Formats: sequence, structure tokens, C-alpha cells
Amino acid sequence: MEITITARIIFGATSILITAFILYFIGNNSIKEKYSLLWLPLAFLFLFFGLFPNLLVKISSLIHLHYITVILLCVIFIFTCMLLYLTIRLSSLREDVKKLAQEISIFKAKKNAA
Amino acid sequence: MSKIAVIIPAKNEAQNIGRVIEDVRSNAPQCDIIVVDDHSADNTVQTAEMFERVTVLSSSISLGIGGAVQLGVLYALKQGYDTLVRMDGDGQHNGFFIDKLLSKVKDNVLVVGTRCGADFKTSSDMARKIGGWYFRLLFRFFTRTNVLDPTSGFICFGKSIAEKFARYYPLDYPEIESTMLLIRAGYRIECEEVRMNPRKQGRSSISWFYSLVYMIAVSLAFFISFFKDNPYKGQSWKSP
Repeated sequence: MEITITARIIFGATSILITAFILYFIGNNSIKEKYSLLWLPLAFLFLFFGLFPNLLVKISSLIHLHYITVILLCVIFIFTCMLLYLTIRLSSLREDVKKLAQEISIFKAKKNAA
Repeated sequence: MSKIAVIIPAKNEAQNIGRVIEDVRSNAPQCDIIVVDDHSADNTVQTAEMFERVTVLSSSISLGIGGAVQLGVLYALKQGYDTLVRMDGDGQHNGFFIDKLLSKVKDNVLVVGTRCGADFKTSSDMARKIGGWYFRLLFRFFTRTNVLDPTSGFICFGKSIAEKFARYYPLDYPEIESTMLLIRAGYRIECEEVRMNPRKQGRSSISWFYSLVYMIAVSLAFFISFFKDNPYKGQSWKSP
């Protein structure tokens, strides 16, 4: 399978952009350390395969995944898992925040009453 | 002698809250009033605090209607109340009917203030009417229970249900899901007819588009609550 020069440019540019975004968000502390451990390797993986897409094709034939779509499906699967995990975290955080706010309100009311 | 509290969740109701408090005062003087402010942008809190013997709980973040009601319930339980009434802060619920709801309340019964047919024409728009009809059908079909006005926020309940609500109360569209879970946990629903006041100030947060989203979201919650672990079954909430 050959990759055309246009496709290479699009891959490369997109991967650089995504990596830059991730690094930017990690840099300005928008992403907590724990999650930057997850995103940093991913960013470099993106960059690497974006710049050398032929490697991806070679690796996929090495592990007998002959269709690039299968790789794509794997990526989608991984991303779905990540999203699911983050949504679960988000929901429990929302619950925690709600409990905290409720407790603070009750304390405030008791302080006012005293 | 039971200790009764009226929980009034309010968000940006500075213009209405005073009237609601006075209404409850005059119609049900035996009840204590707990106003739960859900992070209002106007001076709902200051207005409510002007009244004597009214507890005002104010939240520093927006809890959502469910979170606000739950906050009121948590506080009431800690203060030792055993019968609770929840009514809206916008003045649509008439304090005159509090006694009527209270007369029906038992420990395993949720009393739902039900808007009757005539009131649907005046105080509710078409969207709300269709929504009410649709949810009534859902309840009838799936739980074999008559809940004539399942979206009503004018309810009355005892300590046992309050403890369930303290443990779990849905955040955004709480009425349908909590009613459903209560039925599944073996509680009874009692529908008691009430008349509504027309809205005087402000407008209902329910528009056409919003009510469509509401119906879809609540239907989803309704069906999901069939399969999910019922938080209202089993051991109940303990005061920390």
C-alpha cells in the first residue's frame, strides 16, 4: 500500500497540530499530571506515525493486520474506552462536588443560626 | 406531634419568594420554612433572609433542582423534621393545599399534588400538557400505578422517603425518576388534587424546545431506572 504525498502532508500536519495542542494543555496545567501521563505518550505516538505513516503500514503487516481500517478500529476502540473512563470519573466528581457544596451550605446555615 | 418543614427550592425568584413565604405562613403556620437557594444571580437570598424564622440555605455552586431539593431534605433530616413538603419558589403552588397534602401523608406514601384538568388549560401550555399525558401513560403501562401528574413538584413525604431522597435524588429532572424508583421499592403514590396559581412574575423555564429535550431525557431516565440498581431499596441513609 502506497501513501500519496498529499496524504503524508495532511497526516504530518494534523499530527503536529494535535501534539502541539496536547503539549500546550499539559504545559499550562489544564491537564492534571495523572492524565498527562496518558496523553503525553499518545501525543508522541501521533507525531511519530503522522510523520512516518509507512511505518504504520509495515507494522500492521508484521502483526498480520493487513487492512489499515482494522488499525483505525483499534484506535477508535481505545478512544472509546478512554472516553468512557473519563465520563465515569466526571460523573463521580460531579457527585463529589455536589456533596461538598451541600455540606458547606448546611454549615453556613448552622453558623448563621448560632 | 410531628415536626413539619416546607422546602422551597428557588433559583432567581427574588420577585416571587416573598409571596411564597407569606402564603405558606398564612396557610400552614405549623410548618417551618426552608428556602434553598440554588446559586441565584439576583437577591433571592437577601429577600428570603428578611423573613423571621425562615432558614435559608444558599449554595455557592449551581446544584440543579434535584441537588437543591436534596440539600433541603438533608438539612431537614439533620434538624429532626419528620414530615416534609416540597413546593416551587415561583408561586405556582398554592400554600392553601399544604394541609390537604399533609392529611394524606404516611410513612410509606408519597403524596403528589396533582393539577386537575381545568388547571391544565389555564396554567400550563400545550407542551406541558402533552408531556403530562405521555408520562401518565408510561407510569400506567410500565408500573401499573396511577400517577396522574408525575411531573408535579408539589409533593409531601415522611421520614422514610426523606431518607431515601437524602441518599439519592436525581440532579436534573428528579420527579419522574424518583417516583419511579419509589414505586419499584414498594412505596405507594397518593394523588391529591390541587389548584395552581398562574405565574405572576418571570416565566416558566419550560419552552417548546426545552420540553422536547426534557421529554427525551426523562424518558431515558425512566427506562434506565428499570435496569439500574435501585438506590431506594435496602438499607437507608444514616446521618454522618
